[in-house]
Amino acid sequence: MEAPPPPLAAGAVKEIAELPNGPGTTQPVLQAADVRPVTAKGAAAGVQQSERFRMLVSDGVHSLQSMLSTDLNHLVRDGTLRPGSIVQLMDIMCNTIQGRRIIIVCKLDVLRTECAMIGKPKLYETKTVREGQEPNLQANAVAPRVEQFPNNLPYGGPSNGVHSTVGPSIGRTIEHGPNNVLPGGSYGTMPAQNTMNANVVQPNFQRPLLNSQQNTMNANVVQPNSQRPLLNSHQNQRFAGSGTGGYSGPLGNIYMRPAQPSYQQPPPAYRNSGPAAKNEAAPRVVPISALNPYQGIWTIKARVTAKTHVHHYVNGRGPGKLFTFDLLDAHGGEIRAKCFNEVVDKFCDLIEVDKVYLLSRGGLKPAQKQYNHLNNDYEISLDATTSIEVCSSDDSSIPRQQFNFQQISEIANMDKGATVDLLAVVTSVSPSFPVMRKNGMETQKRMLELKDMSGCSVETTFWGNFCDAEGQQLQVLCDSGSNPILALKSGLVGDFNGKSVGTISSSSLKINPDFPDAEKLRQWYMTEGKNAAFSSLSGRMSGTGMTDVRKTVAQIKDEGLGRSEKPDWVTVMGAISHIKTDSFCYPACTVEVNGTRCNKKVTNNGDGMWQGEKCDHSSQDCEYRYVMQCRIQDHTGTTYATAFQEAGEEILGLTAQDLFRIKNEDEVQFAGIIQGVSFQQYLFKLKVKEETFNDEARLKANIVKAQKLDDTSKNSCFLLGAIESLLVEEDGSGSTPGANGAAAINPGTTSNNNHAMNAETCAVCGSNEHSVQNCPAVAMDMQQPAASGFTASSYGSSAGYANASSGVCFKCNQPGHYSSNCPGQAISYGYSAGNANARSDLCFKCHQPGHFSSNCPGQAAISYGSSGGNTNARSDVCYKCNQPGHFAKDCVAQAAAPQRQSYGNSATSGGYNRQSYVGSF
Amino acid sequence: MDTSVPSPFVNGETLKMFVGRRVRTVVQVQRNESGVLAVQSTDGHQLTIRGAPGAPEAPHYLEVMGIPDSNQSIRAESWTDFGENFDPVPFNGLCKLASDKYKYLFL
Repeated sequence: MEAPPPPLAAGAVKEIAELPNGPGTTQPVLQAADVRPVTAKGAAAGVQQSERFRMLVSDGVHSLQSMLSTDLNHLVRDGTLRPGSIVQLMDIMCNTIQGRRIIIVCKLDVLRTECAMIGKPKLYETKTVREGQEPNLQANAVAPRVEQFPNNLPYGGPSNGVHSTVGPSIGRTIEHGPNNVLPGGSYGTMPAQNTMNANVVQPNFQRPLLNSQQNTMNANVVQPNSQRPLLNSHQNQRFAGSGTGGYSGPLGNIYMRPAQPSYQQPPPAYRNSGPAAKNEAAPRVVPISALNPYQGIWTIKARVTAKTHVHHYVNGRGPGKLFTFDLLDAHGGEIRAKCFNEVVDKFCDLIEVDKVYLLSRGGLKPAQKQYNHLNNDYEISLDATTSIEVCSSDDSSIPRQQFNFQQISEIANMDKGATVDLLAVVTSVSPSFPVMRKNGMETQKRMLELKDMSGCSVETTFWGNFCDAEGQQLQVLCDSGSNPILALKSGLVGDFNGKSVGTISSSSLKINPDFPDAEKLRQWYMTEGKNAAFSSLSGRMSGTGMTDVRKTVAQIKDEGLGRSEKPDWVTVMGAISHIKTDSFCYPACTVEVNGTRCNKKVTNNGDGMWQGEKCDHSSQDCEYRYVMQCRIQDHTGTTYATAFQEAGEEILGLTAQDLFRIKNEDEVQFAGIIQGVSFQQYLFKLKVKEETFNDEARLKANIVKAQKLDDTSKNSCFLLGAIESLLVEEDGSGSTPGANGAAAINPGTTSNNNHAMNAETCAVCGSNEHSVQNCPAVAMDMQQPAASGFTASSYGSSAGYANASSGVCFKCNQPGHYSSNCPGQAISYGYSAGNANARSDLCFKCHQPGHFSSNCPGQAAISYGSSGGNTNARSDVCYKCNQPGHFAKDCVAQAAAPQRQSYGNSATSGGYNRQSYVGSF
Repeated sequence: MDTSVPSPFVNGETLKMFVGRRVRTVVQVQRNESGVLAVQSTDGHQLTIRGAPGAPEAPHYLEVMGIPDSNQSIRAESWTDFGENFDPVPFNGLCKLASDKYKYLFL
């Protein structure tokens, strides 16, 4: 025998029907007499509608139409909620729109799915259609209600002062107030609630659910019982969301768009009234989530969670400055406020992080999502009319910081540009070092490794000011052996080198925060996390000094380095066997341009002035800078490489200026200096790039850094790594055909499986978090003291080449090319058919030797400048403009011509006979 | 080199397998107390070296050939000063390799 159905709440329908507008206060058990989808008329008009259902609820005597929140649609779809079901309405929202009661069920519990109909309910006739009252005014029934409660009087009562746009309606509302007598029973509990929360109550704002064109349908969502501020705001959100569909059911109206809640707020009474009022009355603040561009006067009470530094910029309208700060209010709404120019001066010092402010007036503008990652579609633009007051009493209901922590493992699935809040253990912090930004400015960078309970670690970069304060603190903590917990708000997910996280200007950091979660994480790390194996989302920990790909001189040529579009960065251990001493330096322009030296070559024009050849600067003196050709030699061969200023100083230990002077004054001493550096072992960091000069491809190697090999402890580990990788190879049963005997480290085996290598144990330090190649102990710390732009670029590209250096294509596993150039790849520069011709070294357009089709002189349209081919190469004319007197690289006509590395690229298409080029080096 | 009397490379760990047989190791001097050296092996074990008169002071590295008379002490037959600039890590790696799977490559 089936259990009897739960008793329905007698009279509940009547009660609901007579509830005041706003969130319902009862949770009656009712029967769903009918559930059916709303036939949305908007669908025909192409308005995107979400499916909605309406439900006829019955208490056995009366029935009433209600709308189901879209959150509940699934109940209907999966049949849990069907006609006859016994439900308990947990959370309802009452509205009166155009004289009709709209009950929105936000949350319900289905007590029983199937049940026979109980009683014969009649449709309850609502009495809410008031005689002669404009429909849109009903909402304002709040005003009299407020008056019922003495607690609200100090600030709730004078509704006459309400904002002018609604002034008339409010006015009438008050007149109508007495007519709108609401059944006392339904909120018999409310006075008590209000007493408790008198200061927080927001008694009088309108919240039209519908957009402004449809003002007639103002639904008023009053929060009389702010006792549950969280619940209320939650309801509000959902309510707003559920408005998207437009509830056309009972009314047959189509409400077009999701309503932006609009709180209309009376001017703060405390400003206009006497000081007593100011002291006593809490201002009527609106939640941040209610701000929108369509209202002019509002006050928000919010805590500043983050504040940026003043940022100076120059744009078309001249220089300007800007600072922004993020606000968070008691309802969890966040918004960014922006100040420009003079407003910056006005407020910059006033705003302090963690303080609570009352902020009113300012423009609401759509948020610039590329900079602003807060959960708000708007941002506030502060102007001269804005007033900001510090809230003297800190409101503890406003959270200090709103984090939305995600696990590190989730970053793996995030796209570049997403922001993430992390709570993680900092396991390592690298010292900060300067990097050159693209715009030539120098900034600081610091790398950290973060781990959390997801068992993943991610490389995190602090930029700029974060390096100094928080970064330094973290480094001190890490160096002292503790593992600080870091709460990072709005870190930017990047895809550099696997996945990484970086700070942006609006990021904020909290070190060792006092959340329970942080403590939990710390405990976890101390007990188990410390020894757990983490998988890193980032390619490798470059913060500890990127271990560059170690190559021999012979490998540079044999492996065809530098032929791809980006230069290859390699490290070579070798000695300098010869330095060209006749022109080891050049006189450089000393003029400063945008804070950096021009450094272009200057010549003495005879009258004591140095005239720039390319820069048009003229100055009285010049600086000699190195451009030194060195022959580098190791056990496999020799190659020439050019050392510029910094590297030259590293090799010779004195400036080019000094050396130039010595050379002129004392040939013997000069020879001694040069002799002194010959056959000394160095670690050279080389940038290898094939360049085409007069149609001849040459491999250019620049010495970016040179480190004298005298500290064995930093370099001999490398050999051990070499042995290890040989062993791995042997064990791995013929893994890579590209194994180069002496090639030592074979990056192919390790760098192709970044994740797998985490499981290996480093032979050098025994850690299982990296392989020998990545061992911080092996790192040659070539990058650390870097003070130039080289560092920036070297990090960028060497990471990218981790794979490239394996020597074998990881697409087809054949040596001799990179996967990007794999001939197996169909998209080979648009002339894939050319492969057949390519073998014969003939241009497949004109079938003449000596050039590739891309450079074919017969091809008028896309002349890459080298159209003259080899014919011009021998004569002393520029092969771009065919004029004598300069080289193509100096050609004035070249401005817009793309610098195509014709040979480099052609070789990349794969099929070309590579040997012939190798020979021409 | 006298191949009839091999002297395998050992570190502190593998030393104990060669008690009574000639070995070769590299250690870092920590204290030199009149010919008796307190040293540290490349894998961090504390060892005592006897019979190395004139050995340098800390923190020099020494290569010692001799016969271990226990797990922790070696009677030196000869020694070579390797100076201060020596990286113990590769040597330790070498010892591991030489005592392991690639033993046959070493004497």
